[in-house]
Amino acid sequence: MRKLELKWGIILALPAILGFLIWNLGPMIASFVIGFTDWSVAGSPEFIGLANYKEIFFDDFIAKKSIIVTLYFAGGSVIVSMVTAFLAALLLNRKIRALPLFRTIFFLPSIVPAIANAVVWLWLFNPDFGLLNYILEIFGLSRLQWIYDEHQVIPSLIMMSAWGMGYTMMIFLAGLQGIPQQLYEAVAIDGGNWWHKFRHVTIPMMTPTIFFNLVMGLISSFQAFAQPYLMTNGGPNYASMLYCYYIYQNAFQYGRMGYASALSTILFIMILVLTLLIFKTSSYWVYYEGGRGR
Amino acid sequence: MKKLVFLLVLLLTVSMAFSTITLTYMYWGSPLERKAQEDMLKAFEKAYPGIKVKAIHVPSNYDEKISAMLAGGKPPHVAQLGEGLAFEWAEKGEVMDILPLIKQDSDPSVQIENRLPMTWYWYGGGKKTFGTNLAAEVMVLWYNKELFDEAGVPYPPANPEEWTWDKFIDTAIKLTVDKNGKHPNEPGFDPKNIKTYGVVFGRWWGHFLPFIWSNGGDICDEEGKVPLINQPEAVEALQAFGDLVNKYHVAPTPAQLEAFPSFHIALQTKRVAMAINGQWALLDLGDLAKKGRLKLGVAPLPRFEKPVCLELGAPNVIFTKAVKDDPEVLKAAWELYKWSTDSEKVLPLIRGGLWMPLQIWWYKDPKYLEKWLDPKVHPPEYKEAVIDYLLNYGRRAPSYYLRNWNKIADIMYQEVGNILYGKVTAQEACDSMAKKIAPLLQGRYDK
Amino acid sequence: MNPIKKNSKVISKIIIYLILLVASVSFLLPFIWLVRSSFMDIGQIFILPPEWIPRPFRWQNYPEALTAVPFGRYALNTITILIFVEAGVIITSTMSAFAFSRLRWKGRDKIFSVLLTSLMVPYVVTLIPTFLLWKALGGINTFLPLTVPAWFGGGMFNVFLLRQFFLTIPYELDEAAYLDGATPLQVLWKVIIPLSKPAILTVAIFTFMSVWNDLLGPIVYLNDPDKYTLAVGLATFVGMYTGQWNYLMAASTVMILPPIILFFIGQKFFVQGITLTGLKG
Repeated sequence: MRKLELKWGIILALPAILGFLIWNLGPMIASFVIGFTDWSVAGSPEFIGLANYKEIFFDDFIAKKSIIVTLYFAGGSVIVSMVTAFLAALLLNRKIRALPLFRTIFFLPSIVPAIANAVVWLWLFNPDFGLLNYILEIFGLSRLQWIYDEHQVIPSLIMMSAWGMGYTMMIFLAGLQGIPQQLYEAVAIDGGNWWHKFRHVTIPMMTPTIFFNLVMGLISSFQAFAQPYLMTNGGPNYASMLYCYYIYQNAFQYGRMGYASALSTILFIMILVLTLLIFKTSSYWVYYEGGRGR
Repeated sequence: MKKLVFLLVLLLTVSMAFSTITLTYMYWGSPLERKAQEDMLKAFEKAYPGIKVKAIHVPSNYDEKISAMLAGGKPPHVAQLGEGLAFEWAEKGEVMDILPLIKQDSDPSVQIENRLPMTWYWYGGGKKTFGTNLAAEVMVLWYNKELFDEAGVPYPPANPEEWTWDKFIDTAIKLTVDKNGKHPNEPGFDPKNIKTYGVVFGRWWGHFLPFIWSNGGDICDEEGKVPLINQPEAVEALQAFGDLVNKYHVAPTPAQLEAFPSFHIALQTKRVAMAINGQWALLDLGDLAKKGRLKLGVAPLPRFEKPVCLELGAPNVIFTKAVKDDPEVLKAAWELYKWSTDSEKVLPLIRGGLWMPLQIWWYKDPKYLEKWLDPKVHPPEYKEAVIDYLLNYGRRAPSYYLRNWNKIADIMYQEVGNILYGKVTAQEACDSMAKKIAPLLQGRYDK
Repeated sequence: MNPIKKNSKVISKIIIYLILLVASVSFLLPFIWLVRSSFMDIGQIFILPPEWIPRPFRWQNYPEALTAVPFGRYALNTITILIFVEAGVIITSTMSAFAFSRLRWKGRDKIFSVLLTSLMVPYVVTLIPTFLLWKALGGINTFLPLTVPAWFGGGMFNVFLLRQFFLTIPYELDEAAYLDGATPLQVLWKVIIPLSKPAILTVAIFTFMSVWNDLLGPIVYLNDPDKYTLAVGLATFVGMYTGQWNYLMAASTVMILPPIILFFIGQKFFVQGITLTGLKG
């Protein structure tokens, strides 16, 4: 049996392993190597050692700003999206009528294609004719500049990503529905109120789900590219210069493929380190029930 | 003997018919441009039966596409290309130096002296060129004559010497009206609810650089090494530019601008009276004018010290890799290059308003002028306000020679944005700009 | 249950429904805004304060917006690519997920976690190296670069999702089948797949969305405009009508519709698929 499983395991996993080698590892190594060269996709790459990295760390103010902006955006959008999604899931995890309808409404934004998403939000954010400022005025609040202001642009983009939290919400909902009722009943018997239930059952039982959404959310928000590309061009004043967009600019607009590759290596390391950190700390806060998988 | 000649001719014809060369031609642009480009290529194939052209129209992500093709060793033979990448690749030898080809050719349309001098891209110490712009383009001021008539304000003069900055501000103030009918210089004017703006402009360099120059300032010195953007002349011009928005309230803020329909719709719907924009906008504006939906006028840009006309654009180039192995292919590509930059062959795009011709005779010879100026599209003052403006006051954009231009332009875009948002003074923005662009100022391609 | 408690229960119910209602409206507003603008005359879009009902009702925005590019041809290309990608993703991601969840072999979990790092590599980074690879393989200007990678595991995210789902299926089922003399392949086919339809459909929907959204891939790899996809056609369109918001909104509505329709059709399975994607780490 063991032997059979080994044989079939490798055969069946082979496409994925090959795919990884060909379409991920190969290009990644290539990009890592190109990062040590001065290459504009024209001519042959010229080896320049660590010069690209030196420039990134010492001379390039945009790269530095970009890292800060990306951390701000990634942190903000993961937290805000997760909290929104969690609250929505809590609301939906009750015996309510028309659950499928509400679930659909909250989920729909997450399947809107990026271009369409950008078109719609550009228009919602519009300081003059946009819906958001109109609503603010109805409530007697003052208008905002949204993505057209250095300090409001990232919060605006975070809000936009919170709108698309549907998938995260679905996962939370799944997690909530998987919590055994007996646990709540046990708390009730001990005289606990809703807060005790939430604090001592819901939260601990949801930690694996939170963990999953946290990792996935971080990875995808570090790779966010469409917002600056389609909406802000990284402005105003580089305040939305998300890292992947800066890589893109260097690679394809300034013709600095070598520099862009060096930038990407740094991004990859950042994501990897963060993910590993989350994994390492997970044993302190993620609660696993019984055995895990097989 | 006769037989032999006949046989030879036959052989030649047959061999020509069978040995077709296929070229690839890559370009961007709207469907209207696409149509015109396709017609141009069809005419080319007809004129050169031995050559087939495969056209690749790339509507978006052009830079990624062409980078990938070049990296893959199979760039198109002839292609439109952004100036930044063109210089970068020309210095590496990937984009071809066509000076030797020009020297061997007697076709007048491609001779150095026959094209507008400022449209040539020089590099390698000024001894090499990869060609000219696709077409000549300048920045001008478009306006809606109806709004001027209604307000009883005289049209902007077509002679740039007469069109001073003070006159311009005065005109803009008279044309700016809030929802209560008040002008910016009247008490109770509400800058948050402006019905018609005096003027609208963008914030990339084409919109403010002419004013810096007109005031005697510049981005950097002649050598392209020392920033001058924080010198008084440049700062003053940018402050005046920002004041249009934040002091005089005659122009929308960048945020309000985002709310704008495209500026030609804004002109037509009287959301704005004047617009600083490229000559190329005439493609859309002329279309509205032709349909009688807009009474279009055009003027040069207002001046400070002296009038300046900014000439800019992007080149068509030949890729070395695609042509170097086969002299026949090179010859074919050269013919295609010449054809695609011969204003005669792309006349529909020129008559339609998108482009201006490259060859000098189109500007000087009345016969030719008549050929490309469509009275239904080009306003009557176009000749003086655009053509003479270009010929007398034209100055090539730094994109024709300055190294790291794309990056410098991006930095200026962000910083000038700060001025227009009213967050910083022009001096502060310019100091910051000077600091940021200093390391990028590494000289010129042509020196 | 005493009446006071019952009353407070009713009140809390009302509050919950109220919150749900407000939240739903705010989530739907962008859609409503989009659709109303898509039927408006450009002039009405710029009226302050904004109006909700298009007057006149300009349905012509749609035909006017959509005749700019050959949509029939593009639709055909998109469907062709979709079929090959979907087949590849579904077949190979199911296979791999099975291997990584229900077969025990040495190094399995280590390999899996290494493979997962591919999720951390942004697309812009691998674009040029991958293009060079396809160039070497002679796949430029064909649908191969857009379809073949799908046959190599179908993307780790999909493998991951399916694996999570497979982990929730009791292992006793496999064991029973093995006792009956089944091979692993038979277990996959007869035990796992029949139980995993929702998860597989979920993967299929995600795949549809990624093909539908992909703009860079077709532009970089395809040279003939005849081979372009719908996403490229719509992008052309967006570039063309900058500022003409009514057309842009009409085109965007058209772009959003297919995923939404697909979601409604497959909703039941889709929700189940995501829901059951289990979440045991």
